[in-house]
Amino acid sequence: MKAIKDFLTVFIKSHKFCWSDRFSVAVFVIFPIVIIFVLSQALGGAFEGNMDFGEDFTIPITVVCEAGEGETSTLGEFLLGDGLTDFFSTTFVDNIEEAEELMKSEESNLIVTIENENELSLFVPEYSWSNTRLALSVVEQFNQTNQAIQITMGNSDDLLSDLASIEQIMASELTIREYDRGEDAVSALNFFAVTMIIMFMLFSGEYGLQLFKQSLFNETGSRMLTTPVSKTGLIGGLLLGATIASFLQGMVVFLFTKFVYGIDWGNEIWLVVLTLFGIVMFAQAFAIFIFVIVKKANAANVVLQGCLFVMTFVSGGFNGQAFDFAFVRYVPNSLASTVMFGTMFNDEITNRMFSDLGLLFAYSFVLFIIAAVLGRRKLYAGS
Amino acid sequence: MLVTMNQVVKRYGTFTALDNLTFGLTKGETLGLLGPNGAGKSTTIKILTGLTSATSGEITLFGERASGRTRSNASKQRIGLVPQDFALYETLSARDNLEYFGQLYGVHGGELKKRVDETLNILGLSDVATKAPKKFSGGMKRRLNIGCAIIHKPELLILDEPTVGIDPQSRNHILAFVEKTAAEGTTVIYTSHYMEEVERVCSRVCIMDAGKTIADGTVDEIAKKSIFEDEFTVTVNEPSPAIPENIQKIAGIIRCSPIDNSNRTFTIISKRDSGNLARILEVLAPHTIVAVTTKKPNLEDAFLSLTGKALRDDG
Repeated sequence: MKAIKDFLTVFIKSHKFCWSDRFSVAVFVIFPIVIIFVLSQALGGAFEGNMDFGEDFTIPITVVCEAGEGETSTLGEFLLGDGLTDFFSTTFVDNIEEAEELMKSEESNLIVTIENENELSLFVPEYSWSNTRLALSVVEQFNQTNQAIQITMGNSDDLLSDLASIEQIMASELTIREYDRGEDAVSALNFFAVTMIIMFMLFSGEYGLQLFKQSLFNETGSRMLTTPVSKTGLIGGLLLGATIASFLQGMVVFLFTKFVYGIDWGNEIWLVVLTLFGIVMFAQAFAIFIFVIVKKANAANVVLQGCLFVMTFVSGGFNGQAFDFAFVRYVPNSLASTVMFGTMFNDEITNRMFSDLGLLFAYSFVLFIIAAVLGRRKLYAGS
Repeated sequence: MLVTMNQVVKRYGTFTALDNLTFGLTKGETLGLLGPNGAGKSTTIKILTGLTSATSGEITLFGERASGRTRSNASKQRIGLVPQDFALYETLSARDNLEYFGQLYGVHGGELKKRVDETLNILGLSDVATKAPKKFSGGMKRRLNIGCAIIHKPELLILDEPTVGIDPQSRNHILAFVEKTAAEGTTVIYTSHYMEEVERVCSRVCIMDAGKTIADGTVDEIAKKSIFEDEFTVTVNEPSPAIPENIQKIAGIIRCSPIDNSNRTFTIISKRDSGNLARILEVLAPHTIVAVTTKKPNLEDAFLSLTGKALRDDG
């Protein structure tokens, strides 16, 4: 009973401590709200968002082959050539109705319709990094034979500009027709809402770092450690206090983007909230981990902020251009954005969204364990 | 004995911070730990409170044997620690800080509120109870720092240099508070560089140097260990070159010398407790005495005698 009481006391005061620093609250609540708006206005026309939230290995496409089996093999060769099989899984169907069914059930990202021997139609339902690359690959392949191509796509200017920027494709006879998909298109506001909330929530680890430094490692630490409170209760309370305060601040930003900026976060709001919590947990764990492995507290601050900027940068958080390294896929920003973009634009929750969220929590758990082991040594260093 | 430390040794690598330190403290005593930086005062406090462990030796707290860094919750509950630097949450209000530490020491509900109000009142912080310490002066922070250690009414209050860097008014407030707390029966361990503070508030003094106790006793007992004698300063209106010679004829006078060229003011050193003041005044009466000051050996002199160094030189 005493242990629970102590834990709650530390939790409540730590929580209050996080909210009592007005400057930090401004940084973690007001600043992200402003920066999301500013970035989306400033970079709205130029960015290429990385919103690859599909399954890991293949992007499903459907080929409609009304002209007969002969066309299938020709198209198959061209679609399967040049290593495309690594990225795409192709389903061949006989008519457009079947293809649309597949599209509706999310089993296909792209419909390729063979109009005749020399003419190809692409339907790209919405703008995304993978769909853009897919469309470009198909267009490039088809263009080599100077055949005509028709692209039907979601109402995203970004994909149009991407395609238009490749001059050799423009040289071919290209017909582009808009396809209205209502509100589904990704805007810069959506993109920055996701990436900036993730980034600022990662920086909220600063709360954990400050609380640990203040409560365990300086003069206040001397006083805290001489109180009749167990270290488990003390550390648990500090962690939960920092985590809940950061999480609530993240929620304020999230709700602001939803109700004031009008961002549609999809139907699975609980998953977005859970992801926010996962990011905040990771942020606290990572901050404390850095704090215990770096000798000086001020240096730990610099290292922490540096790491978080690098993570945001390589995962494309500032401009949508993620670095092309395998590890980037496992950076916490990428994991969290997979879930958030997925919730925003998928009607269903994919396995990858679950596995990425699971990884995020697993990272936090492992970092907490390491920090606990190393932190104990640091706590009594020199004693 | 409320606290005993017997043959306690603390080593950090090859450096010996405490070298067979031995002292005891009975209930209601106010013990001043006096010594230059590096004497081992803070290490002693850390060992007592379980912030660090002794390399060897025996420690008992409230009759319980304390080993390593482990201290029972019952012992912790009875100790209040005022660290040397501010141990406060700078962005929480003064009231929040007091409540927080009160709760951690198991004070809750109406009792907590009552004690917080009392403590704020005692320390003269009632008017700024809702303000955060980051807006406080050094003196106010020091007082709140003490408040957080006394909110649970500890039996043993440990103050580690509680008046460093504050204004005379706040210092006086703190010293008056310590005197009052001691008078109410709280046992106090008070470390300081300031002799006059220790002389004022402590019933017993333990002088430490290089990890050892070099003197332990009341202020008077320790002062007597000084090699220095009684010192008088006398100013007369009608000076005469014969004054020093006449004074030195008195038995027990060690030295008499003018302090400036006017030959009006003299410093006279006499053997301790020789009762020479009356004789000196008798000799000087024809010269119209206008001022007399006397100085007995104090802790500063004793410290200098015992260690060969001034207390604050090393600090």
